[in-house]
Amino acid sequence: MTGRAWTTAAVMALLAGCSPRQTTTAAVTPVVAPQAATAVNPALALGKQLYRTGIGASGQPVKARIKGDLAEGAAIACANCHLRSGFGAQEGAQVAPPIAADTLFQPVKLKFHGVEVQNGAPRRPAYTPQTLLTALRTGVDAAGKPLADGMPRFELTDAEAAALVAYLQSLSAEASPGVEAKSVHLATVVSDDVPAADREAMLFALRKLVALKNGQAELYDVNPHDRSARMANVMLEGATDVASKRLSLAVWALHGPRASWPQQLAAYAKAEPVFALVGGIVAGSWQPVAAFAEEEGLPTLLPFAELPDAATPGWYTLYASDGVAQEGAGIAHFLLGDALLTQPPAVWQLEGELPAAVQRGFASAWQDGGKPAVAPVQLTADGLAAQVDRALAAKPQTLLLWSGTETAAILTQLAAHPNRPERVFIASGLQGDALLTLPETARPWLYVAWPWRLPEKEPPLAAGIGTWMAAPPAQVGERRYRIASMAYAAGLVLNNALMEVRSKYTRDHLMDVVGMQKDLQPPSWPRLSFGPGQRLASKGCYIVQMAAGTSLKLEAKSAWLTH
Amino acid sequence: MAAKTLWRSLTMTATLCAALLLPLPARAAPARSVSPVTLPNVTLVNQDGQRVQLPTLVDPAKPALVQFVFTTCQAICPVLATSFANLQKSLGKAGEQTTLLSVSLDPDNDTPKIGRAWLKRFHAHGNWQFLTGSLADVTQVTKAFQAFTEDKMTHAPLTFLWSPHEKAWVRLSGFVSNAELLAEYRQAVAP
Repeated sequence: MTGRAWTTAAVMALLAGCSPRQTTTAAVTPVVAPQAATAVNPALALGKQLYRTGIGASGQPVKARIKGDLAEGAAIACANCHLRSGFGAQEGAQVAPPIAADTLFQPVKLKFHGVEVQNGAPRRPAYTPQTLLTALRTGVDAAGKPLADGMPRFELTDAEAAALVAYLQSLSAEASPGVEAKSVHLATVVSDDVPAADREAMLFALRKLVALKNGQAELYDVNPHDRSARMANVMLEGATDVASKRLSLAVWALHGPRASWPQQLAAYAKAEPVFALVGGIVAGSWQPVAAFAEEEGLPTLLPFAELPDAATPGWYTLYASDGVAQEGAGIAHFLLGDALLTQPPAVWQLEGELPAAVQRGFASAWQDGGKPAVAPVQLTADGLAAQVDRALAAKPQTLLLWSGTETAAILTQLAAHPNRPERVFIASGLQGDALLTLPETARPWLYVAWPWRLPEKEPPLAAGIGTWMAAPPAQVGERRYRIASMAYAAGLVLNNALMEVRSKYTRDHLMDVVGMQKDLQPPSWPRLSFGPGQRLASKGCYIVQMAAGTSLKLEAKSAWLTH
Repeated sequence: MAAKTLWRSLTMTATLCAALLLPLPARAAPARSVSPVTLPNVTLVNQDGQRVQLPTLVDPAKPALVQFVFTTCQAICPVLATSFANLQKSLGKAGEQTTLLSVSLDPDNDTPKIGRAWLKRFHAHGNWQFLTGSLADVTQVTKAFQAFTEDKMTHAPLTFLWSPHEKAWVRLSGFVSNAELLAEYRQAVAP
């Protein structure tokens, strides 16, 4: 997308969050029981299992017919089409109508030009448990009309049918915490062992998001009839309450040992309930925060996580990428298709979580590509030069160097050595701002994994991201530019999602609409793409070489590699 | 774009969306047409990580089927894939030999490994392949089949069948039942 088109998209997204009119909340009257009751009610637990996985009471997949053909289990789970929240979805021209408690058990009114007809017979009367059962089994709705072709006709036992109906009666019946008539409460998680400047880069950008949204909400509250407000109203299709909602951002600062983080997070969540976590930055693995979010059912959008936890099954945390592991995988993908590689690469790995993660990413992709495992040479920072000398005795042709602050010294040493490898691959994510000052002598044979958009394709700062940083990139540095763009992207995703929830503020619905979101092209990434259940928005990386000098001039040596 | 035009197009989009939010009426049969398709000479990657040239996968003397899918799609693609699975099953030995191609609309996410798992989920065997590649190459393929949409989230249920009999690609738009697909298949092989 061009810079201009990208700007338009961003502006539209922000603008649409700003028009007033009515203020409705998602407080929906529970019909039977809140979702929390599933833990104690076996019928609701079975209903939830049927709804989400298509597995029946016997533990076997439930069967159904679609256009007369047999289908079963996960392929026909209700949540596939109607989504976990039950608020439905549209995929192309295929529409899965909402089936949450507040719609299924209410009549569907006739619409004329999009406006509900208040008098006369409804298009579909409210379902009763009995008519719903008939619809599930035979595909005939409460008005006696056939449901769409794609809707499975289920073969359910009486117990399963009763459980599913009970679950549907409870589905998304309660609004989630953190949303009020005029506000959406958010939080961001930062740990005190993150450098203060990094933390500030994240918070500065997130506060900018809040200020922008709230400024516009204010403006449109006082001037609801100006052109932008009318445009927003059209885009929001009646769900205009989001336009005048203000955002609040709490900072959940984590202190001390990581083992104490879950308790700290729980205390924050109790004291100031929030709808979602946005952005965030901690030192080391994001795992404790992700585990908490999973337990709480708390959406977390695009934390700056160098060590995400995407391998652990989960649904509530969307990462921008797989962190530094993705760079290791990218190098493997490059070498798997590389004609110059005539002998297995050597891997030198410094101590620490980050180099280990790069190696994990490399090893996994390398072995998926059918290659035998490569045992890394483990190096320590103490007496490094001697260790490098010893490792060079093996005359590696291609070296994968998983190091951070030591990289410059190692490259300088390699440059002067007769056994210098022909090519050295490094992960940019381990280098921080030092990337730009790596020795120029090494650059002709240095290959860098680059999980970002190529610099010449970056939109100009004037396109928006400039004001999300405390100072221009030349002053804030490469790393903090990425932190700010992560917050910016999180803001875009959040804004789009808040519009798309259409006034149905449940956390599950927020994640549902995030998963159904179209591709985005914010600064920093060639493309962020989404999908139901997808955990990583950006999946690839480039392999680049760096030109001389301390400004970021890169030459791509590969296409955007995802496999 | 002039403000008025923008306003009008937004209004139209909104009306269209409102109209689309109504459930679709049940349809008896998929819409059938014959498409002029020239397979682009792109190299894609199959579920085993092998690089394959698309045109070499289709033998003009034999029927072949193509669907555009992505593995995390939950509403349309599992139903499409089920129709491939049912066809394979119904055709027995001939089903194993028939070329079935599931081409990914989400190649960034759908690695060969993920494609392999997806095929397994639908008990795929024989000559049913999952194809991924670069987004640019996949886009060439969707454009050739007139199946391109701006975003994977707006894709439609489509099945394409190469008919040696008609020497053309038959385009089936909508969900297709096993009986319908079998009938099309038989028509494609038997004059």
